Amino acid sequence: MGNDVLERNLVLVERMGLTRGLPPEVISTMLDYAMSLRMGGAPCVRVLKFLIPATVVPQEAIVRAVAWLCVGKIAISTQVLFLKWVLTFFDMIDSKDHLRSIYGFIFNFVTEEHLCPYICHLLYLLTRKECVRPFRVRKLLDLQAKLGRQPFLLHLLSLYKVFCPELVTTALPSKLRGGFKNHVTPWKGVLNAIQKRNTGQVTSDIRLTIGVKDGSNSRKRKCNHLQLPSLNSAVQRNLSSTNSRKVFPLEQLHSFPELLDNLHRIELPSQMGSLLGSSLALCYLDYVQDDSAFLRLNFWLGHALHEEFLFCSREGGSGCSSETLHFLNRLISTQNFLQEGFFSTESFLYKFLNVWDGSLLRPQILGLLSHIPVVPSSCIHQLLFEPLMQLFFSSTLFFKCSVIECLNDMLLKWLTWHSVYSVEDGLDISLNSHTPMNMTLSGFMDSVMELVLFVGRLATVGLQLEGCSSLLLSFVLDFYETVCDMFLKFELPLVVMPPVGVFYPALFATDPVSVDRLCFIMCRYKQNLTAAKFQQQEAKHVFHISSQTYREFNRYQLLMVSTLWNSRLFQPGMAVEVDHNLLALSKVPEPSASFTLIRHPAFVGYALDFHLKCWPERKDMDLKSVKAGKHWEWYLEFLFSHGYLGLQQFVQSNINWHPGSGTKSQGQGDGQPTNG
Amino acid sequence: MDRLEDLASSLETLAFHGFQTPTVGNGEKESPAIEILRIKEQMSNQCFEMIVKLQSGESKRSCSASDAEKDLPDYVNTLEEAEITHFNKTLALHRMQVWHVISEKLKQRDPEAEAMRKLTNHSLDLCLKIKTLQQESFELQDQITALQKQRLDLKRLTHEKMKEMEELKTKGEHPVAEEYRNVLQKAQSYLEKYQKMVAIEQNVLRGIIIASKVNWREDPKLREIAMTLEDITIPDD
Repeated sequence: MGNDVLERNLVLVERMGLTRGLPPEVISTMLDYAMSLRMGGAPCVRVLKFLIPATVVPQEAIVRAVAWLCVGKIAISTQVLFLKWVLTFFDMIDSKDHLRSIYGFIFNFVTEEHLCPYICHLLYLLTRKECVRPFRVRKLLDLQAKLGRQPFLLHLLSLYKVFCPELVTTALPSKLRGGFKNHVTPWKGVLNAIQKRNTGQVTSDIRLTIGVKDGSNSRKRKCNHLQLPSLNSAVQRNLSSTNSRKVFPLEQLHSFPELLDNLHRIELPSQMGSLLGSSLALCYLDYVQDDSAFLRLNFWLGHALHEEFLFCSREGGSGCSSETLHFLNRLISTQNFLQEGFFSTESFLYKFLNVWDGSLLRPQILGLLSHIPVVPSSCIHQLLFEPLMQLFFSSTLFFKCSVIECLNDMLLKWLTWHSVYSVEDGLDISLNSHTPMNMTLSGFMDSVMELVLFVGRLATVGLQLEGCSSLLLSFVLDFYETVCDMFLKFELPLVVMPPVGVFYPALFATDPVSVDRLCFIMCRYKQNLTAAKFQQQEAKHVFHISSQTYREFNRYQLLMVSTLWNSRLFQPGMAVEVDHNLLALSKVPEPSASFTLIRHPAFVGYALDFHLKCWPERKDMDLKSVKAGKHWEWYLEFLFSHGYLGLQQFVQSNINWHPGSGTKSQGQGDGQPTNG
Repeated sequence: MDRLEDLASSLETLAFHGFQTPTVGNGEKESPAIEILRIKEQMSNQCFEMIVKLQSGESKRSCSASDAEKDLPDYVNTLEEAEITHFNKTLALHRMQVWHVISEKLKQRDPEAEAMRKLTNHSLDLCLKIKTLQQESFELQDQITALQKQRLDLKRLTHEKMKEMEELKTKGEHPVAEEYRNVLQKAQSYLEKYQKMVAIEQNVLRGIIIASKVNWREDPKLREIAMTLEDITIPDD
């Protein structure tokens, strides 16, 4: 039309908006000007495109704009653009109570097909319990019948269901994938540039502080879904309207006593992600066990994780930015603090494991993995074990060690949870209220059994692949230190012996630390099994440890004593039986004694040292002389004094040997070391 | 040219014989062409035998894929067990032999043995350090687990207490005596009825405002009404 004055002024404001963002009053005026269509439809679109707020968006502006929407003169595409604008800058709206007052007016637009997804998203962010009314539920269900089970309708309905389950009786899927789409597209580029400049401005208002917006990483900052939004301390919080509702906003909490005083009237912020950073907020969330809050938090978390890792296109090796790291570390510390995992993290991990390469953010992903709650044994293979196995076999040594450590952590958490939450003599354990699953004691034991057997298999193959590396062996023995004490430390009536593929590499290990730990583990197994047997006989409990477990244990015991003490390693009848012709070929004298406490690769150093100390002048070292008389006793003491308490315990509890006695009796598991 | 002639003549003889291998006397050497023919005959005989066997064997055992799949884990396990046993035995024998040689070497007095002894002593010192650190970390892990158990227990107790509080709250809302209960119920039903009426009126009013397509924000009185159309609770002022 050629209105030059208008054009010049618009350009001025546009420039300011695109570079520095506009102050609240300007936003108010410009929004009103645009939505009233004073100069036609085209300037409206143009204004919306550069309407970037610098600090906050006054809610009155939005209310006015909605009123203009009701007049009905704006084109549909412009209405859509306006709604996208509201959703993009929703966090910057200073207060939402006026918006909630016109909830009904906003709800009215849900019948408009083109606006429906955006309206549903906006309503999702605004809904309170009072807003859920039967006629609204009915309307949404009607829409669903007309449009089909659209995700935006399902999300809104499930939120309604959380608030008022009696009003929403239709079945809704409990796991809703993805979420509402991000609508930031028209303002993406500008947002990046502005936020880079305005980093200082936002921090001044943060009270319960968390992740400061890191402005340095502008290249990766496409959609800000990984930034933990700050708990907005609303600038104009002193409005009387909030006081009249006697509600205490979470942002204003500063200390724990304050939390306790106001426990009954705290209002959660609209951006649930901001809770992740503050421990007070997490405390509140934990105590109140508000299902709607958890639903919203899970929804936001799932959305953020999916967008960043699963759905976004990778431009030049994304994922390892400091932002991602920071976010994941925060998430892990949150889960540690709450001592439970989030449902959305769990489902994200199952999907991510299938596409993970094993090295991207390994400590963080494995850290998140260890918080997965008990998985039922029917799906544990498919969900957890299959992807881990695939990653495991072709990975580095460190990855293998990390995975075993992660699974050890997971087992510890499951066992801790069981020992606290299982009811005495009860067979029914309900998991935390956010997972709709109940698990019986036997189901839990099945899952634990599956996990232990799986790690046994992993360890066996891992040790074979890595040539029985001491590092991997150490992590594996860590795991079995947890497993051996399941009965006594965690009251779980389950005993699982390590597999053959773990036992032998540990027994034949070249470092004394591993052998000592194996001895310690076997002693613990003995104590656990004896206690279990005793309880079984005394109290006649429900559980039953199979005789096969006892047999396995006895076999291992026998083997250890025969190897370390009785010099009967390769003899027929022992588990590692080798033909004597083959042994003769090796040209090693007395092959069956090659792993006794004197000649074992782990201890031969000590034996030689001892020999040197005893007979320093002897030129010709003969280790057999260590076995004679008092020297044997001294040698054992010498060995134990180096800190090998496990070995000491094993020898003292299993070998019936009297120091100082001259008799040499040969028995299974007792007697003097034989000269053989 | 000679060679070509030879080849040609041998092919001629073959053609005469109808491409059957002629019987060869014991001492005579076979020409290569005839050898090839012989091999070809043998192979075709063998193929024929195989076909016959296969065809007869087909009817004997019809093995379905699901049957095979059922047996598969057992076979895999057997294989794995055999593999593990083999690995372990090899490990034992290997270690035995290597360490026999090493210990023999360590017993000697030459400079190489000295160096090896120093290395052994150094590694044993390291083992001592490792042992103490491991002991420490084991105890720390025990403490951590105990603490985590305590925290989880506290969490469970907190939840139980919160539940109790909720129950008390709902119970405590009616501290009045039995006789007031009826009055309260009546009042409650009246309140609900009027709330329903108000809700309907609000909806109707909202519908009118929307349908009339008027900007309710501009007029202050209309604005006041519009902003209260969501409230059904009585404000305490």
